[in-house]
Amino acid sequence: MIKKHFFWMGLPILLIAFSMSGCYYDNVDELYPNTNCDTTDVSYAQQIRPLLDQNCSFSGCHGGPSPAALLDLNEYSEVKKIADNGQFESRINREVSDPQLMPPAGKLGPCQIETIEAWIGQGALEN
Amino acid sequence: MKRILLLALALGTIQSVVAQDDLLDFLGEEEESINYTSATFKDSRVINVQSNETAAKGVLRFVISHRFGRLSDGAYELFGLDNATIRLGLDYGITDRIQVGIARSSFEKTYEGNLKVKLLRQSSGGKEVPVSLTWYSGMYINGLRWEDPERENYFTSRLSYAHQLIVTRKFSKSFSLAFVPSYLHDNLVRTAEMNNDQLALGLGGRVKLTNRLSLNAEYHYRIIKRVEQDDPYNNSFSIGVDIETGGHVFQLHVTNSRGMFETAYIGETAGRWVDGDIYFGFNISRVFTVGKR
Repeated sequence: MIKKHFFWMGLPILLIAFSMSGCYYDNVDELYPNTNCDTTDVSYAQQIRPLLDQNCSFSGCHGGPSPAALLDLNEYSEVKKIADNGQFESRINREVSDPQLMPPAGKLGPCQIETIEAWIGQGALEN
Repeated sequence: MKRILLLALALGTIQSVVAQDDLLDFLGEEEESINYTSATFKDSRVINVQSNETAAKGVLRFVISHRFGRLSDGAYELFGLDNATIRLGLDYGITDRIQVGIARSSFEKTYEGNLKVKLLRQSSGGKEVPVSLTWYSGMYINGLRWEDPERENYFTSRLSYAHQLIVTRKFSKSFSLAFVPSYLHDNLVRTAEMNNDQLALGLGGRVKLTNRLSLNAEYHYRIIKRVEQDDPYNNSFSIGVDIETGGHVFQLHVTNSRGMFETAYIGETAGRWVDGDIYFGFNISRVFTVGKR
């Protein structure tokens, strides 16, 4: 009887020991200390446009024949509009558990967000 | 001769009385058999948190869970119904006390493997055990694209874990409680100030209203949080009902958590009830007997 109890109690201990072997205590700041995020003179064509193409302005989202919320982010004028009214910065900065977060597939990386914020701060130019 | 006969009769009577005593002892032991408490909760979850219930040996349980958008999003988003996160899960009972499971959540595109073991079962009669102890462990793989594919990324950075000791007691036919301490671990967090380990205490309860309907609620208080200063997350609170219809159990609820796995609903609940961040959701489970009983 006692042996049986040891078996049941031992299972989770074994499992914890197993999962602990795969435990790491990493953080992005220390794991990638040399990651430079250059946000001086952000270029719409070189930095923002590729970001939008990869994450936002494709068919089925904010692109294609019927863009979501009638917002076609292939058009600079539309991007400028959401940059100026604060929606661009607001929606990419929501918590991951917020259904309003854009893009819905997952939050952009910190450097990507910093780049967009810097571009908006520099006037959201079509440079 | 008469005396010998009387002696034999007396001995025979004593022997039969002794035998009867043995039989009564035997019957007495039968009466003292162990009665294990069943149906402490209706399903394997109270709402989000795991209950002590597992799939029986050879039984496969398919669980579909949804959490819709915020009720406060209003009529334009049909009070959140236009947005949904989904979790599809399969649980299988290897024995009546060990359950293994896999799942996929759209929340952070997470894959999940889990194990649940009944360590101790509440019982009465021959063995008085006041509570059930159940162990639950889950491993979660974040499936989101790397935020920077150019840097050296590690698979282990995608992993997080949860371990829970589920202490449950069925106080009466209509009232059960679950006390659930949880330990969570993320292999990778964003900054050096964030904690990789989190600790929380959960409390869940069920009040049976009719044979097929019960009221459930749960709350998780985080003792060690991922972010100690300017914490963007909140404690999770959920309330709902269980409706049983044949082989199905429908769980309908409102909660401030969008995630449906342990590291998400305990550690990453961004919603606040007072701000109207209330998500309607449901869990539906269906059982199939696929293995030998």
